[in-house]
Amino acid sequence: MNKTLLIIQREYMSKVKKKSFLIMTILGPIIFGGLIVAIALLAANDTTHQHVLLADNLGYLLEDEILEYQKAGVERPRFRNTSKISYDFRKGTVDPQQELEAGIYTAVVQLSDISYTDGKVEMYAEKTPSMSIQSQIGRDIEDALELYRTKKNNIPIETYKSIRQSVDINVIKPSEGGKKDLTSPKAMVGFGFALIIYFFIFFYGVQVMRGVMEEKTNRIVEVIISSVRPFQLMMGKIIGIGLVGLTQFLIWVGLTAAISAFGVGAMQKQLLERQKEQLAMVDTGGVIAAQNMSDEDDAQAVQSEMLAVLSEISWTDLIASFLIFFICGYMLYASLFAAIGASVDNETDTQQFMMPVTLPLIFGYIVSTMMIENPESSIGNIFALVPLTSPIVMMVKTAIGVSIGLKILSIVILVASILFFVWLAGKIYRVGILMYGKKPTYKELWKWLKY
Amino acid sequence: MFTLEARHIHKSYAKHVALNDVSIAVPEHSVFGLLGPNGAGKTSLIRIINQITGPDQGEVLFCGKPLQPGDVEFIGYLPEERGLYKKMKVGEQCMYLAQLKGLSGREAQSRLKAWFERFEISNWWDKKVEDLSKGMAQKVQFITTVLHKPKLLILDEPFSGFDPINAELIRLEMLRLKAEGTTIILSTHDMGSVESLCDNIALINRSRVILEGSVKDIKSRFRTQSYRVDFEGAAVDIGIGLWSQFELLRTSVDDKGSFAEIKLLNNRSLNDLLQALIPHVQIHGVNEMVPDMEQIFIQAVQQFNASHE
Repeated sequence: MNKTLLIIQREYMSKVKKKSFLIMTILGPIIFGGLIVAIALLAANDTTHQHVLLADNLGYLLEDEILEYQKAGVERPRFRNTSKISYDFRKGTVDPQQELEAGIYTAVVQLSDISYTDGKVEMYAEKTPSMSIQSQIGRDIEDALELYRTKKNNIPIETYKSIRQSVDINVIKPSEGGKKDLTSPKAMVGFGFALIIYFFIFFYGVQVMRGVMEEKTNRIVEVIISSVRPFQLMMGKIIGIGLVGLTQFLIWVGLTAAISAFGVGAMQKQLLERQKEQLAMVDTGGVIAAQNMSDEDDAQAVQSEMLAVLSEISWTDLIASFLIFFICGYMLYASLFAAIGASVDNETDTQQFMMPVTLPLIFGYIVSTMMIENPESSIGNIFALVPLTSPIVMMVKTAIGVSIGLKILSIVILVASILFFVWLAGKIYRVGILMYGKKPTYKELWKWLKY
Repeated sequence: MFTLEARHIHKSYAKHVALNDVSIAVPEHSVFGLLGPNGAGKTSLIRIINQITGPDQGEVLFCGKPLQPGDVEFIGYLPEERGLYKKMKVGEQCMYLAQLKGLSGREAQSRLKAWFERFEISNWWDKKVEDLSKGMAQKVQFITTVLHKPKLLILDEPFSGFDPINAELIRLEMLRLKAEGTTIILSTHDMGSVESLCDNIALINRSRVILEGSVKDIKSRFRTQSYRVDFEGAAVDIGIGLWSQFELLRTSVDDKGSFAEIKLLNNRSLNDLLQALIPHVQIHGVNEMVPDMEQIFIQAVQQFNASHE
């Protein structure tokens, strides 16, 4: 059997058979998937019902006219009772502590004179309601106040609405058929892939470094390189550990998908039940029904945008690029990590050499985060070509769409750099693994290249 | 026929010359001692033979032909700094190292079984290396070095880490391998084992070979024409008996009785000495004082260093 294959096999088997690999591989998705499910379930099951007492010292908001006005459906109806929140109203000033202690209300909102002029409202609660409940109450009061003010100033509500119109910028690329631009959300998707590459390079690169160092400090290395060339040993280790990473990644993807699918399935069932509940309510009150419909419209709009983002991304391109840049990026960094492992005798000495290797990796990560904000900046274009950052940056670029020329150029540069760095690492490795004692300086590493 | 010949090897690292015009020739089926002080260049030469590094100049012939990358399968190397994967099981580890040397899985397995039985360590197969003592690990390492039946075996301090019983076991294995036709290069500081095992030696000092040849020849080269004479009588009588053709090095008494160490001068023979002594003392025995390898080692190195200061 080919000796490099033997080395790859040993690396792979010895890592995969380790208990820690099994634990990480199984626990990883359980932790990730479980987290996703837990968040989803928590969000869906947040049933703490807020019973709010709205006290209005002036009482204007509680005027029948305003309430009626709302009911007529001119403006969105407010102060509606839902499964999460229900209102009681009282004119005048209340003693919040007393009201809360009575145990009927979970929160007391007190409007005062200043609320009408400056929009300052006091809310009293023993347990702080969630942010979404808070903003819901805020919006309810805001709308009621707006109605009050328009009425007071004799402005027809339609006039006010036309004045208040907010602006929503829709970026359109004429060259792409005038569709709505979804570059930023697409960049987010790419960033997700970039993040995976970033973590895997880090995690498995360090594994390569540790493995090389282990062979060196075990003193087995001289035995082995009397049978195979140092380069074969180095490449065997890099490829073997890379395959371990790929295996772990695939298992993670599979398990995470399965667990989240299971969890999301359970969640959807709950949602369905809730919808049924709400449909039943439609029969009892048209107002509520109307409100529910408009909320669903919002949710649907977000959903359809997400779908649009996902459908506009070229997935075959993205996944193919992911594999190419994942493997190339790993090869590039793993060879550098192998050289570090060969140069030193112990973990603490690695720090000095880790710095210059991890810096470009972290830099690529930072550039990627910047590209979510500004997807088509020229900085992104530059670092999508620089070999040490391209495996990360190029994922974001691929998701938002990149010219095939640029991508091929990036891959060519990357592959050429791999050849160079593997050669470089091989030189350092060859000398380093037989050097014991003091930590080498950069000057000495430079000399090793010429041995 | 030489199993290995190194011709005019030069090797230098940065500013340090490791080997300077080093030539050795290792005859077939013999044990060749590669001797020298620490840092003399032995390990550099061994690494070149193992093709771990290459020489700057010179060539290495293996069985008469220039050394090829494929030749590693015919060489077994036990480095001085040696170890095993701690987390691996002994059996797995041996299988791996054997296959790296080109053995098939099946072949490796059957040979390993035989060796494990011979060393009475069959129950170690599933043990982890980290659970072995140093001596045990050394045994395993020795097996992995010789398993592929190399034509040339290079052992660097093979006895370190062994107790006397196991050291003897290894020594006997070396002799057995030699009898089976293996050529062995032994690098050691243990001069006792050099005397008992080596047919030829090369002494490397300060990157050069300063002494080489068969152990027998070298020993006779270092003869000093000195004899130890065990006798009965007064020490002063010895002195009376000697004349200017002999030099009395010293006289002393040990548990066997009185003895004198005498050096012959001016090509005088042992007979001349005996003739001179017999009238004066009762002689119990005469032995030539042959220098041992340790003395030769020290003498050769010191002479060389003194002349190259």
